[in-house]
Formats: sequence, structure tokens, C-alpha cells
Amino acid sequence: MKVERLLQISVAVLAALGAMLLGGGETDDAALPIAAVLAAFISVYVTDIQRWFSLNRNLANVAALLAVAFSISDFWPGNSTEKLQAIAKLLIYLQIVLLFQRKSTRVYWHLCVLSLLQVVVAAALNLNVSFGFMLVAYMLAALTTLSLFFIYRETVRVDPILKAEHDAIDNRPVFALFGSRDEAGDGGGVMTEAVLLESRLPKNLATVFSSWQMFVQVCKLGIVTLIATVVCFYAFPRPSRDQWGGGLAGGLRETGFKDQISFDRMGRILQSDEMVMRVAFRSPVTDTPKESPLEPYFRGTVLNRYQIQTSSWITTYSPDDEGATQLPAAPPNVEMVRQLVVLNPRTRLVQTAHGHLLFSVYPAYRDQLTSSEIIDDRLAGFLSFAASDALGAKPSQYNVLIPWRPAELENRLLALESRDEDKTKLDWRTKSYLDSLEKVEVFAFGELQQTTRNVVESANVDQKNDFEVAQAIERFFTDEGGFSYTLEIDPRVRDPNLDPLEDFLVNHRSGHCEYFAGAMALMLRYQRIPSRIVVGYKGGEYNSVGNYYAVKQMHAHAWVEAYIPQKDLPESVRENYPTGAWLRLDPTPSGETEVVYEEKGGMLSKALDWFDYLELMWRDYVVEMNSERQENAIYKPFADRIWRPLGDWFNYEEWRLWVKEKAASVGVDIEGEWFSWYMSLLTIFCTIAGFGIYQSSRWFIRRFGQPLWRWVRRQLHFNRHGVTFYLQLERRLARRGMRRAPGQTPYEFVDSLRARLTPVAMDAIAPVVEAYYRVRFGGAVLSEEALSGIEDRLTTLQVELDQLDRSPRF
Amino acid sequence: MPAELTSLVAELENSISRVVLGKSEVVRKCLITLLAGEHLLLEDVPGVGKTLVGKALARSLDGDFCRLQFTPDLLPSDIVGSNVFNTKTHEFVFHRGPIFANIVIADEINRTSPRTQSALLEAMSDNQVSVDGVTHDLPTPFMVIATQNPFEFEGTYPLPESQLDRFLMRISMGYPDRAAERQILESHRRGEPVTELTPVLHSDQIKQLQAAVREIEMNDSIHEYLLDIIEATRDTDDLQVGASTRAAISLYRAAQSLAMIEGREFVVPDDVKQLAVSVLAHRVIPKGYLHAGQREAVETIVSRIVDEVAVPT
Amino acid sequence: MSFWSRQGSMITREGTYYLLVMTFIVVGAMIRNFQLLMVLACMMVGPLLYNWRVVQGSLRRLKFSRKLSHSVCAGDPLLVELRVENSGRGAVYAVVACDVIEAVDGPKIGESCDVEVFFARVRNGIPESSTYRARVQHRGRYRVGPLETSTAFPLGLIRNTLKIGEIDDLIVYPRIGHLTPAWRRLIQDDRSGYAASRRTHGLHEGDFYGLREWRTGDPKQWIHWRTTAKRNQLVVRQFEKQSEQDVTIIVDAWVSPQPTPQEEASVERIVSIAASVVADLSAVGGCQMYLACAGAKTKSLHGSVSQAFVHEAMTILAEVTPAPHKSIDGCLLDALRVGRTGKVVLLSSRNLELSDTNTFQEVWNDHKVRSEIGRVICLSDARDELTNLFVDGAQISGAKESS
Repeated sequence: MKVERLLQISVAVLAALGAMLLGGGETDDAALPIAAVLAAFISVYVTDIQRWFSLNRNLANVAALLAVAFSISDFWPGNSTEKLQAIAKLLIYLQIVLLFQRKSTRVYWHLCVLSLLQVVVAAALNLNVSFGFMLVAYMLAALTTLSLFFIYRETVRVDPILKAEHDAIDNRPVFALFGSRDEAGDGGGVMTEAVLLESRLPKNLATVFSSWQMFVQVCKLGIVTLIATVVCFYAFPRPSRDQWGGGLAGGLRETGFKDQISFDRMGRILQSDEMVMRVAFRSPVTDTPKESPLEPYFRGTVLNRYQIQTSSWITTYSPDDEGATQLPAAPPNVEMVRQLVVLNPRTRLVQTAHGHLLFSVYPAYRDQLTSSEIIDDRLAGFLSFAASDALGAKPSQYNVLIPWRPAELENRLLALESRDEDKTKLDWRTKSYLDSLEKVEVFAFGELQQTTRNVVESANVDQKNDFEVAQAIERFFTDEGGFSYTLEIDPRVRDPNLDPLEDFLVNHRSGHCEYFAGAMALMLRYQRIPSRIVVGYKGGEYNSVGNYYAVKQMHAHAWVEAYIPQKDLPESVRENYPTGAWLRLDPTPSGETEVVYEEKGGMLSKALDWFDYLELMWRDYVVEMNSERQENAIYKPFADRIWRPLGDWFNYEEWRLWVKEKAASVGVDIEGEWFSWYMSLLTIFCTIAGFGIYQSSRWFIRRFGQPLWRWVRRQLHFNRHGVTFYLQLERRLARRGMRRAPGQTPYEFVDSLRARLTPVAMDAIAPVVEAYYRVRFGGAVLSEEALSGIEDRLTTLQVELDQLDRSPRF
Repeated sequence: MPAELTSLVAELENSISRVVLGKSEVVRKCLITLLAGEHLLLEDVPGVGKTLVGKALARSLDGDFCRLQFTPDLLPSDIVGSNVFNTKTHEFVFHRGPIFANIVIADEINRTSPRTQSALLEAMSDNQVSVDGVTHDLPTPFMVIATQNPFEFEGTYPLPESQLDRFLMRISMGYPDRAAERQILESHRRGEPVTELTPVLHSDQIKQLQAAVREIEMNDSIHEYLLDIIEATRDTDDLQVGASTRAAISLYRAAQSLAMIEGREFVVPDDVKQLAVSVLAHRVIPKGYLHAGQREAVETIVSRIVDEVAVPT
Repeated sequence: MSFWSRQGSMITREGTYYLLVMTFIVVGAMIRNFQLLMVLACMMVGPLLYNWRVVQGSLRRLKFSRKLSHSVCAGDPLLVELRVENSGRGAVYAVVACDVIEAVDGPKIGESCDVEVFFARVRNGIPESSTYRARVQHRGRYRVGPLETSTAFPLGLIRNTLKIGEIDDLIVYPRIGHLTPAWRRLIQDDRSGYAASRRTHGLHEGDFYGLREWRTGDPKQWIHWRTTAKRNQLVVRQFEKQSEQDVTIIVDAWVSPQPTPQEEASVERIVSIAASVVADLSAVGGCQMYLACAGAKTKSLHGSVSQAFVHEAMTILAEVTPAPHKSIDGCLLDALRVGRTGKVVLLSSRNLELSDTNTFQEVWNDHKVRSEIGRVICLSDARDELTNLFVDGAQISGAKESS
């Protein structure tokens, strides 16, 4: 196949891939990328192969202008994401316009650049690992295209006929609307130049460049490119510690976790598959993964008040400065496990009074690896990441220690800690908080109150025992009440006059976790049990490849916590909770997330696990590569493994200090930020300098390498033959300006010295040279005595030479 | 190498030097050629003792010696001999020519016709002669010392380069210095001193010596050095034709012989360097056509080339 | 034509743009701290490095050689073959060899033209060859080379250029035209008597030498009837020791200090005539010729016309550089002294008269030569004396093409 045809196809593939990359990020409008892909392939057939139709240059310009105008209307009103999408669309329009032009070098260049721009935009729109895969495919296509394009350019340059054809395409008449099959102009009939030279392309051109060897070349190129990409990407120092804010990416979808619950919205809630975080449990000692037998409850925020007017549960909690402190150190004799949370960069963190809300199993403790910015509001029981405002630095990952409690009951209990000096008594602050959780509107929720009473009475429990009452109510929801779980709230069956929670409890008894939790919390309060709603995530998909829970928005969950005083706790655990404990109650009937565990072991799930793991890796080591991670994950291990064994001389720290000092001495302050802008610039500079050094050393080697190598070989030679003494002799003489010419034999050399040296010196030299000859050419081995004799003579010579210096010169 | 052989060489050298005065260089090269088992070309004006060298060598050896005066009318059969019909036995009998000797002095070799020259040169290269299809071996050792006067042109047939190659060395005698010349006059007061020489070496001993020469060791680096020199003659711009492989072999052998004469068991770079000019100069062709000064010019070129080649250390 | 005239590895224009785009992406990635853009930028490093590496290693192992004929006539096509051998391990792709032809002597000194020859693949041990066609319109000595090879495979971002000092000489002979019978008459005019006297000798003029076309004055007895019948053109037998063709040609390539195109054309015409005479004589053979050219340099050649002589003469004619020179006097003097027999034709591009004693001072002053001056025929193109003697080579080829 002709090179040009191959190029046309390859460009079309490239265009299609670029459009697909864009499509990957722009989920809401898949039609345009598909159109672009179609256009790419149609254009190959229609415009390039058959030449039925092609856009004239002017027409193409008009079309391009139209596309720009059309896109601008999209561009202005939107936010940054929409703007990007508008750009993406524009790029696709332009690409289509270009594809239907007759291709010249100019058009090919435009297509290549457009395609690259598409990838740049796509990189901003699509953060998934799928982008990575697409990028690799794109890279191969791009390399193929570039290679073919190069061949095409070279052939056009060399071959006059091709060049004429090519120029004819570029200079087509302005007002021909549709280009027909235009004949190749052969304007070169009359030659008036003095010397006319003409070369033709080789006949094997097409076969050579469409052969499998070319494919091998491209593959090699691809491999080199991949390696270079990885090396460069990880070696290039990042200027800042910040993560990419994700400002360009699409906003958070309106599903999943929210920091309040309102029940006035009806309709279907979509189960969002979007990743929230990945949580791994590891032993703090051995760092081996641990899988919890119980589904972990990742606590988010705590809702303490039900607003009847808006029918929503909200947080009306005034920050408690005393209670909100750093995480406590782990208590001694409790087994701990490290919880490692890696947040999806697109997860928008909720604001709390202390900063960004964090999700974690509660309670949490710290150790030396835990960030000191994590704040534990112990009264309400939630973690925050200290930040001054919503725009403050968002953590990408954090780790805390959590108690390892495989036992069911212990897992459900959360100790209430007293801040009083007497740890067995509740302090006033806690007491008032508990009081606030009991408050109910006595005159509201008549039917709810009635139901509650019925439930408690019908349950065969001690009504004075809060623990039993709470459990009875929980049972009511999960087993006895005939509740069903649904995400679809049909507005038609709702009673608009009733409060949604009451309606849920009394009438239709179907809803999602928020309804269950909301209703139960109210019921508990009417039983004068302090209760609150905890919103967070329950469980997640366990990824057996990376040993972590992939927590998605669909795992969002709400549950209830009830305060149980010490006296009501079961006897087995009573001593551990001197001031009572929070009991976690999950009223939602199970069955929503179990699906995940059923399919374990299947090929598909394994593959999905892998994919998700890759996604995590992609996110961790590509999308969120920052200076901190770079240092921790790449430079440090690298330095430890490679630099440390080299010893103190090549100490990383010392170098760092040295560079810092040097920089300070020239007035550049590198601060504590080792990977600052300066470092980035320095790296670029060093790369350029390194390249320069490489080039100059190459030149140097070419220029001086041969003599240098010869010199080295000579040195080795002398040593190998054991004739260093002669070398010594020559050196000593050379120091006095008596050098042996390369064409001189040692005898001749010594002979030539006769006029300049004293007879004593000559007598000393002669046996040395003779010995040298015997050893070097005769293969003799000198005895110890002979060697010492030579030593003596050399000293004699030295003395003579020294005298030569001292003696007056005439 | 047995010490007596070395002493024999020394003795031989002394013997010749007693007659050929002030020409130790020539004598030594003569011996080198002998030990290498090759042939020598002496070039110079008449009367500086070219023939004397040959005679002295021949006398010092216990072998046959023959002297051929080459003239334009000399025929090949005059040298190698011919088949003569014996009327009594009715068969052809080969009458050996004068070339069947250990030492042959071919005087004025360039005066004879190329045909005769090539007959001699063939004998030199093969150590045998063929007459009427019958091959006759020449005695060993066999050495030709040819002389020619390079300054004569009229009526001469200069040896072509390909044939010059057969001689190991081409050396010129040069005039002896004043002291030596006085000595020569002294020694000639009572007639030719050559006649007083007595043989010091037997031809078998020569053979032994020649065998011993081949045992002389040569270090790899000297091999390289030698080849460097040969290569340099081929690379240089001044020479049209560089030294041949045969030249390399000759230089190799000559260096070995010199080491032998100097009583060493190994070759040193000095051996190669000293002999390079004598061995190589007549085997290369310079660029341009330099008539009379050609010889000197070539020797200068070769010695410059040799000086430029780095000596192994 | 080639903007990378430098030796060694250089980034190409495309490569520069590539680098700029890469820098742009890197800066963008760094400012927004956007890692995917960083990936993209890093991805762009690899091809650049690979290109550089491939380009670095490939050219040095290539050996180029050029094959072309030593001489060609102006306007005739010439095929130049470039041959390349690869002594390295792998194949080398997409090598462009740029060859230059530059005039170093002749009327168009310094004019040059280059051509690029493309080698798709040079495999190890399998020599590739490619030819290009050259057509040189003007006579002169041309230098072909040095060959400049370059490759930017596989991506064209970095180009390695290597000058290979292979230089060949090309002599472009002047265009050879057609001499009319009038020319021959002119040369032989005085000889008619001689030829007539020959006729009396009958068939015993000398040894039979060969056949040639009939010219005015040839006796009828010489005609070789059989061949004449065969060729349909009068052919005569030729005998040795014919000296009637001996001729001396002096080319006076004179132009004024600011040459006009007309003057240059005149010079070309007289050089072309001289070349035609040489070519014509070479077909006849066996005669003596003296050729002298006076131009920027004065050159002369004397000898019997043989293949070697023709080549020498053509080379001299090819290299004539027109100049406002003063050497015509000495040239004529030498010609009269050396060329003892035959006509002396002085071809001049200017209006030159023999009687101009000022110009031909030395000739007129030399009493020996002065008597020979009668042999000289002075033809000046400026006086338009050549039109009926000679048909231009270009006209002939033009006529051929039109028919």
C-alpha cells in the first residue's frame, strides 16, 4: 500500500482515537465523538480513496469559522467544565472539517496538532484509568502516524512529481466549491535552468514502509516511549505539595452522602457507582492487610436534630473547642489496626466546624504516621481535617488507628468518655449534649408515638432497660414491622399531610436507610433514649487484589446511635463503659449490599477487582502525583536502595543540604520545600546541561578518545609486563624535559641523552633500559635482586638529575 | 641458542672486518643476509669494495665460491649450466654452471640482458635451477651477492622492481672514511689481504645458524610494530606502491638475524627500526619520477616513515 | 534547499515545534499541578530521545559511492548512480543523500544545483543503489559532491547530517554542432590545387587507411562505390599521410568587462564551433591539430588527433572562461610558430581584424611569423561571419524534436 494511503488511514485512526478520548470524559454527550469517529473513516473512503468529495480550502475555512462561532455560544455561559466541553466540541468540529479536505502537509499537521489538543482537553475531563489505556493506544497510533508522516514529507521533498502534486493540492483554485479529481499539473516541461537534476523515489518505498519491520520499529519506539514516560514522570520533581484541585472536572453528582437528610424530595434516587474512597485495614506492626469479619461502618457526620418544618435531619451542633482535639493516642492493651483511607479526588468533602469532614471507623487513634491535622470532635464523634475554609487543602489520603473489634457487641458499642476528673461521672457538657438528643416535640408525631408505644409494649422487654428497648425497636424495623427497602419513593402513595417519616413508619413502610434511621431516631427519643443519626458509608466492595474496600456512593448509609447508660448495658461489657456507651443501631433491613459478596471468586469479579485496583494505582501514582508522594513513594525508596549503599559520600541528605547551601549563597532560598519551583527549573536545567555534557564528551571522545585510550592502554601495558620501573625512568626524565619521541626506541632515546647527562647517570640508565628490553621483549622475569638493583640505579639517577638542577648552567 | 654459535658469528664478523675495513655496517648487513638465508644487492660506484665484501665472506666460509662477471653477452646457460651430449655414452650430461656454489658474487648484474638476470633471480628465489625440464637443487647455504653501479645508464638493464624484491637488502657501500682508507692502503702494501683469510665457519654450521635464526622470538608488540611500519608505507602519500607482504616477511627475518648476531634470543624494536630502510627502500615505488636522486629520496621517505611509527613500549 | 546545512545531529523545524508544544504542556501541567498533562508531556519525551538515538547511530555505518561518467556533452542527459552499503548490524531507513553539482570552471563558475536522493532502506550487507538524472546545459568543469547524507528516521524530529567527502569531477563538453560544407571549403580552399595535383598520382597516394565521407576536392578515383551505394552518400577511401586536414584553431573568448548576454552567446558559439571541429577531426583521424584558447586563462594543445587528444581538447574548451583578456596576440604568435601546416582559424567573439597591428603587435613585429600570417583566417561572430559555416547543436536537437 502506498505510504500516503497508510498515512491517511493512520491519521483517521488517530483522529478517531482523539475523539474517543474526549468522549470518555464527556459522558453526557456521546453522539459527537461517535460522529467524529464515523467521519474519520468515511473521510478516508470518500475524500482520500475515491476522491468523490473534498472541501475546498476556503469552504473549509468558512466551516471552521462556523464551528468556532457555534462553540462560542456554548462556551460563554458555562462553568469551567462546560467551557472545557465546549472546547472539546470545537476541536471535534474542526477535526471533521479538516478530515474532509484534500490532505497536504499543512492539513496533516493541523490534524496532528488538533488531535494532541484533544488529548490535552481529554486529560482534563477524564481522570479514570481508562484514559491511561486509551492513551497508550493513542500513543501507538500517534507514533505510527508521525513515522508515516515523516516518510511522506521526505518523499514529497525528494520527488519532484509528488511535490508538484502536493503543491497543486495546497494551491487549489479559490472559488471551486467542491474539488473534483484534479489532474496533477506538470508545469515542468520547459527547463531553463543551467543544471537540471532529477531524482526518483526508490521502487521499494511502499513495500519497505508497509512491512512488518516498520511495525517492529513502531513497537520499539512505543516501548521506549513508555519507559521514558514512566521514568520522566516519576523523576521529574513536582513543584508543589498540592493535589490537583479537580476544579476542571465535573462536579459531584447529587447522590450518595450528604451532611443532612431531608425527606421532602421524592422520586428515584440513583445508585451511584462513583468511587468515594478506598479503605484498607492493615496491621500497624506487620503492615499486612487485615480483612474485617464485620462490615465496617465508616462514620461521616452526626445529625442531632430533626426539623419538622423542612422535614430534615440536620446538625445543629455548636463546636466544642475543648472536645475537638487531636486524635488521642491509642490505649495500651487494645489491639489496633491501621485504617488507610484514600479519597477519590472528585469526592467533595463536607465542611464541618473544624474543616473537611473525614470518614473513618470510630473511634480513631493516632500514631506517628497519622497526620496531626486530623481533629477528633469527641463529643459528637466525627473526624475532620483541619482547614481554614472550604478551599483549604484537601487531604488525598489519611490513616488512623482504629480498635480491632471482631466481636459483634463490642463493635457496636462506642464508649462515651467523660471529661470530668472522675471518669465515672458525666461532665455537664456531655450531659447537656445528651439532653439535647432527647428533646422531642411532644405534640407532633402522634401516630409515631403511638406506634412506638405499641412496639415497646408488644416487645417482651424490660421497658426500663434502654438497651433492650433500643434493640426491640431495631428488631421492629429489621424483622417484625414488615418494612421493605426501596430506593424508589413513589410520590403518589405518600400522604402530603403527614410528615414523611411518620408517613413512612405508619403507612407504607418502604424507603431507604435514611427513612429507617430517621424514624428510628425519633422513636428512640420518644422513649427518652438520647439518640442521633450517623451518616456515612457501610461496608464497600472488598477488592481482593489490593486488599481494600472500594467504597462507592451507593454504599452511603445512615444509622442510629443511642446512648445507653452503664446500668443498662449487658453485664459482660459493663465494666468497660463506666459512663455508658453509644449503641449503634442499624434499622435498615439488610439485603442491599450483600450482592457484592455473593459473586466473589468469579472471573469477572476478579477482573473487576483488578481494574479497580488499577484505577486506584492510577489515581495514586498518576493523577495525584505530588511532591509529597513523589518523595515518599519514589525518591525515598530509591535513595534508600541505591544511594545509601554508596555510603556517606553520596549521601542524599548531604547533597540536599549542599545544594541548599549553594543555592542560598547565590541568593536563592530553597526553604524547606525541597521540591520547589527552583528544583523543577533546576531539573530542566540539569537535563539540558546533561545533554550538553553528553554531546561535548562525545565530541571530546571522538577528538581525543583514541590517544587517551592509547595512553591508558600503555599504562596498563607497563603494569602488565612488570616494567613500571622503565615508566618511572621515562617519567623522571620527562620531568627534566627529556621526552622520548613516539618513534624513538628506548635505546635510541638513551643514546640521544648522552650529551645532556653525566656519565654516571648514563651508567645508571643503561642497565635499566637493558633490563626493560629483556623483560618487555624477551619475556624475562626479573629477580628481586635485579629489581632492587634497578631501584638503586634509579635513585642514583635521581641524585644525578637533582644535581643537574643545582649545577650552574652556562 | 648455543653460545658457541653466537661466538662463531662473532668470529665470522671479525674475520670479514679484518679485510673490509671501516665498513662494519655493511659487514653486519651482509651477515644478516647470510643468516636469513637470503640475498644481497650492493650498489655503488666501482672501486669501493663491493666485490671485496663478497670475497671476504666467501673466504671466511668453508664453502664453494664463485664470481660471475655479468656482461651483455652472458647467456642464462652460462650461469646455470647446460646439457652437453656425451658422444661416448650417447646421452646428455648436465654440466653445472658456476651458480652451483655456496656464495655467488654476481658483479654488475645490471649489465646483462634481462633474460640472464631472470635466470639468476629464479635460482635465487627457488634455490634450484631447471634445465631442459630437469630440476637441479642448488647447494645450501646459497647466497647471491649482486653488485651494480646505479650511476651507469648507457648499456644497462636496470632490474625491475619485482625482481629487486628478491634481495633481502639493498645497501650501498659509500666511501670509507679517511682513517679506514689509510688502513686499507697499509694493508694492501703486501698484496690482497683477502687471500690471507681462512675459513672460520663450515657450511653445516651456517645451516645450523640459519635454523637458529628462525627460533629467535619476537614479541607480539613487535609484530604489531613491524606491521605498523609496513602499513605506514602503504598509507603514505609519498609512495605510490608500499611494501609488500614479502617485504614484511623479509623484515621479520632480518630482524631475527640481527638479534642473533647481537647475541639476543629475542627481537627488540631497534632491530626492526635499524633494518627497515635497507630492507624496504628498494621494494617501494615513490610518487613522481625521480631520476637520479631516486634512491636517496626513497630512503629518506622510508626512514621518515619509520621514524613516525610509534615504537612499542 | 536544505535548511539544516550543519553537520551532526540537529533538531529539525518540526522538532522545534514539537519541543515547543511539549514545553507548553509541561508548563501547563506544572502551573495547574495537573498530572495527566504531565503524563502527556513525559510521553512526548520518549519519541524525541528515540529519534535522536536512532539518528545518531545510523549514518556512520553507511558507505556511499558515486558512479558517473567522466564527461558528457552539454544538454545531454547523464545518469549518476549513488550506491550505498551498510556495514552496521541493523537496517537503516529513510536516508536522504543530497548531491551537489557545482561549476568550478567554464562560463558559469559558481553556479550550483543540488538534488536529493531517497533510500528507503539500506539493509546490512545488501548494497542499495539509486540513480538521478542530470542534464547540464552549459559546458565547463563541474564538481559533483560532496555528498551530504542525512536521516531523520523515524519521526523527523532530529536530523543527523553527515558530509561525505566524495567528490567527483565532471567535464561537460561544449555542445557539438554541425559544420556546413562551407566550413570545409574555407579550410581547404587553398588546397584545391594541392588536391588536384594529387589526383595525378592516381591510386598510389599511400597506404589504405579507412573510409570517410566525400569532401570537395577529393578525386573521383577515391570514391568507394560499394559503401557509397550502401550509405547513399559519397564515401571515399582514405590514405595515410594525408595532411590536408591539419588545422589550427584559436578561440578568442573575449567579453567586455560588463558582459552582455549577446557577447556570452558569441563565446558559446565559437567554443561550440571549435568543439565541433575537434569532433569532426576525430572522425577523420590522422591529422595534426593545434588548439589554443584565450580567455581568463590561456591554454593550448598540440598533437595528432586521437581519442586522448579529443578528450584533452574538449576539456580545454569546456573550461574556457570568457574574460576581457589581452592574450590573443601571444596565442596567435605561438600558434603560428608551432602549428606549421594547415590553416589557422582564429575564432573570435569580438570584432577582431588581423590587420589590427595594435592588438597583434607581437605577431606583426616578429618577422618570421609575419610571413605566415597569410594562413590565418579570422572569423568574428560579432561580424556574423559564422552563421553559414555552422549549425548550432541546440538548433539541431530542436529540429529533431520538432520532427
